Amino acid sequence: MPTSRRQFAKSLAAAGAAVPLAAADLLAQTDSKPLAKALTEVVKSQYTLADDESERVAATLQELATAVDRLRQFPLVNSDEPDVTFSALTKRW
Amino acid sequence: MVSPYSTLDELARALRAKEVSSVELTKFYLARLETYGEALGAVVTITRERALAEAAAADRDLAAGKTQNRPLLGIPYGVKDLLATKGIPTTWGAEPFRNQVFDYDATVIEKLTNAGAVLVAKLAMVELAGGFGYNNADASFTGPGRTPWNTAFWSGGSSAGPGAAVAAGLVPFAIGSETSGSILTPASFCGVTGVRPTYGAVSRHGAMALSWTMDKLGPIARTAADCNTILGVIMGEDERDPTTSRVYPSGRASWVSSIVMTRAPNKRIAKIALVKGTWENAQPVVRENFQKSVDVLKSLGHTIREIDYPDLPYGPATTTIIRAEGASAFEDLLRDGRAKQLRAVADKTGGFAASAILAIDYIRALRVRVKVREALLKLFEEHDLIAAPGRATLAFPIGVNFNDVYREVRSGPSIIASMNLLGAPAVCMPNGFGENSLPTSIQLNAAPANEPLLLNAGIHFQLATDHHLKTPPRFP
Repeated sequence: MPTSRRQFAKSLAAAGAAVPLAAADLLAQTDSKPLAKALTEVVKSQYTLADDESERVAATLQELATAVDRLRQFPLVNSDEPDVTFSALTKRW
Repeated sequence: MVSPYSTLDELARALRAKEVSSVELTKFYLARLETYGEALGAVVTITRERALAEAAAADRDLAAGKTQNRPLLGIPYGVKDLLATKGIPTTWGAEPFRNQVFDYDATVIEKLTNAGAVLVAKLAMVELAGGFGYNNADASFTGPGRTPWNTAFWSGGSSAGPGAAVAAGLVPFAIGSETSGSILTPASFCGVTGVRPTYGAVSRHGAMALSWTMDKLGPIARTAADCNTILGVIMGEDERDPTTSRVYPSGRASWVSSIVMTRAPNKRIAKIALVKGTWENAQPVVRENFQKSVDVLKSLGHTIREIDYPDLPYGPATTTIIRAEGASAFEDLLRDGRAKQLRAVADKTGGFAASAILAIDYIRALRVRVKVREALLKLFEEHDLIAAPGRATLAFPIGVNFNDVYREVRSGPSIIASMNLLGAPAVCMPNGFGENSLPTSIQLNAAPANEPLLLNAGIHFQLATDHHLKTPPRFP
C-alpha cells in the first residue's frame, strides 16, 4: 500500500540509520507523479520485478521524487560546484 | 573490582593491578554474550577462538610491562558486522552476505589489535546499514535489535547490536558506523554514549560502503571519556582510505588521546547554540530532560544561546546522496536479484527504486551540500557546539512501522542529517528516562576536526551527571 508523503518522511526520520528526513522537509511538494511513473518504467526495463515489487518501486520513487522536488527548488547558479572534486594527485590504494 | 559495566579506565587499572587477567575478563564477557546476546538480537558471531588467543597475548604483554600508551590493552570489544575480519564471517546484517568471509582485517580492527584490545564479537546491524529504506525494526537477518531497558522496544539503527551490547554490559565498548544517525540513534535508544567522528578521521578501509561521501566509523561506550580513549586509538591517516589523509595527518590520534587519558581534563567554557524547533515539539519527556541538561551545561559555565537554524533542504540532500550512492554500492545485488532476499519489505525493493535517481539530481544534492557546509561552518564561527535532543522520541516499539507511532512529535530542523552532510563530529549521551523505562539523550555537535572540544564538554557533562552510570536491571 502506498504511503503518504508525511508517513514517508516520518518513516525515514525514524529510521535514523541512513536517511533521516525531517518531516517538514517533504511538505508542500509539487506534483512529481509523471516523473516517478516514467522512472518506474525505467527500473522495470532494467530488472525483473513481480507486479507487487513494481508497485512498491513505484511508491518509493514517488516518495523519493518529493525529496528531489525540494532539492530542485533550491536556487543554484552555474558556478556552484558539487562537493566532489577530482584530484589527480590523491593516492589510491 | 570489575563489573559488566566498568569503564575502560577501571578495566585498565584492574588489568594492570592484576586483579583480573585479560583471559578471565574475556571469558566473562564471552559468557554474557552467550547468555544475553540472542535475546537482544545483538550478536551475529562470537569470536571465541580469536578472542582467547588475543587475550592470552595481552596477558603476556601485561606481564612484560608493555603497557605504555596502550589504554585498551587486554580489554574486550565488539564491532558492528560491517567490518572485515580475517577468516570470520562478515555479514553486513544481510541474508545475501551471510556466508561472506574476508581474508583481511579492517584498518580499525588492525589498530585495535595492535593496541592489544580483544575482539569478542561481531555485532548485529540493520541490513546494509539501512541504505535501502527500511521502516521498521525487523530489518536484519538476526531479527530486530532490542534495547536492554525494555526488550519490547528497538535498540536503534543501524548500529543496533553495538548499542544493545554496550548497554547490557556484553562488551565494554563497540565500534559502530554512521552514515546519517546510525551511531547517535542506538546510543540514544540504549542509554549509552556514542561518538560520530569527523568524516575522514577514522579509516573505513575494510568497512562495508553504503555512501562513500557520508560513511563514518566511531565508538559506542559507557562514557564520553571511554569514547575519547577509543578514538585516540582508531583515528588517523590510512593510505588505504584516501579520505583520511586530508583531515587527520599522522600523529593527530596521539594528540587527541592526550586529552582522553586525562581523568579530569581542564574544563573549557564553550559557546553552545540550541537550535530552535528541535526540542519544543519533541516528546514531552525528551523536552523536559533536554531542558534539565541545558541547566547542567549552564551550571558548568557554558554560555547558551538559542538560534534559528539555516533553512536548507538537509533531508532531501541526505536522502538523495545516500540512496544514489547506496544503489551504486550494491548494484550487483540489484543486478542478480539478491536484494529481494533482504528482510524488511521496504529493503527488498528500495534499492531498485534508488537506482533510478537521476544523475542530475544526485549532482544537485552535492552542489547543495556545499551550501550546507558554508551555512553550518558560519554557525560554528559564532558557536563552539550545537546542542539538541539526541532523538526527538523514545525508542520505537518493535513490531510496528516507524510512521505508525509518535505521530504527534515534530523533530524540527534535522540536526543529524545536516551535521552528517557537513561531516561534523557529535557525541550523544544519556540524559534521563521516560515512559516504559526508556532512555533519552542529548547530542552535542562540533565543527569538523574539533573532537577535543566536543569530548571535553561531554566528559564534563558526565562528571556533573549520573545518567551514564545507570544499568538495565534485567541484565545484572
